[in-house]
Amino acid sequence: MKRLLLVGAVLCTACMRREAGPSDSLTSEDRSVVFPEMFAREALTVGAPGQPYSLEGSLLRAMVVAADDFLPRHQEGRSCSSRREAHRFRILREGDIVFIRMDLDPRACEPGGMLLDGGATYAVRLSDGRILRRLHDGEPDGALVPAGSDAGVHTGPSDSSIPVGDTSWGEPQPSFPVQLLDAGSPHP
Amino acid sequence: MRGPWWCCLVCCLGGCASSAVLDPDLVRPEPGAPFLEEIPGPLLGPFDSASDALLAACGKILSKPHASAGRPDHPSFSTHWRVSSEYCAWLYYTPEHQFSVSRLTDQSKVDPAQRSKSCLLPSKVADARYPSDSIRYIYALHNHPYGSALSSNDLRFIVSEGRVHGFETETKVGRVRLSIVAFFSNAMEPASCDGFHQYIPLTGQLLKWTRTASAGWQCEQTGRVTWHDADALDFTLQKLQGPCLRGAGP
Repeated sequence: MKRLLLVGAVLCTACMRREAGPSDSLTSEDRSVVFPEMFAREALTVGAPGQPYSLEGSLLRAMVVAADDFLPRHQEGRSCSSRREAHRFRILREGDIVFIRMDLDPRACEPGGMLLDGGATYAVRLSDGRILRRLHDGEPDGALVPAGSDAGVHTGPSDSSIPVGDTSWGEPQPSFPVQLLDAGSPHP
Repeated sequence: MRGPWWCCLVCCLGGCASSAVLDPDLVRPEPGAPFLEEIPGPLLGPFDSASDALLAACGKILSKPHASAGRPDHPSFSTHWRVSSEYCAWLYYTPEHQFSVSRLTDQSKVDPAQRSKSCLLPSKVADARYPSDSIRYIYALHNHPYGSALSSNDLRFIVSEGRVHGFETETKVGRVRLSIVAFFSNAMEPASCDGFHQYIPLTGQLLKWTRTASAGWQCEQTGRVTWHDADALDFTLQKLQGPCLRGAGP
């Protein structure tokens, strides 16, 4: 029995050592890399039928490196959400760094496949294809400014007549796509 | 080169088998089973007001193990983050004109490195007291272990749910709009309901609610989301900063 436990412990230790990549740690990454706002501007969608696109090899390498790390091939069989074709990629280049945002495509794993969080943004150096930094959903972005509330609200007092979490006081957004409204039944 | 995944799976299964009995507030799929397609309710309620239900849910979710990772300047934050968990649930409106909160789940995408945090919230609530099509969906609830803003998956999720359930519901207290919230605590142990981020698709508002001892609950408009296609795949986010005031934008 003791031998069996020993073998199990060695097996587990070996697995943990192999599974943890050299840059899995939060502290081993280049924390000086600042992630840009990935959704500040509307993205151009690649892949329109009949439209040719060109792509630098270094950019392709960076995307493959990021996808290999975030969505490893050997895990693709585990679930729909682990497949790279079930994801959407958004890229933004700044100098020699390309930032690659990877999110689950909401249409890919229906029904019941939608995740809250679970995406990530990678910073990859174009010149050598090295991952400089990863930022998973929810992680601090590195500025060490708490995203929580202890810094307080600096914008002045809000309307005290608005109940906590109330959703009824804002103006409807005219640009909200009407096609999205053609579903569900709002009245009980 | 990564090692064979199966040996870790064996280790994980062994660990799960010896784990404690599941918290009765939580539901998870059986080992090896697919993700849950509906989440049972109620866990909390009934409540007369959505606010009361929301705050009760905030306290309940943040009371769960590792719901908060604490501050990032803590020397052990990396460890705290790895062991942290997201929990998710629905706050819904019943045919008896009450607000209720479903049970919680922490089913999520597997990440061997334990850096990626997620929660897979089933689209449907199963409350045995009512037919499924009589339940109205008000808030998708979850926690962010480090108080970060809502993610792009969060935004896409609630728009997708709005297409299924509707973006607005008539209640006894007036019309309420579908939204998603992410609760957070400023402390790790004991975690407390210190605030939440909120997105309301029909108004495009991104809000941040925070509670302080001196000022009570305060609301800040932190951004506005604009969708650019009918499938809700691509959006832009304009950052804003201003108090929440009726009839006035920031």
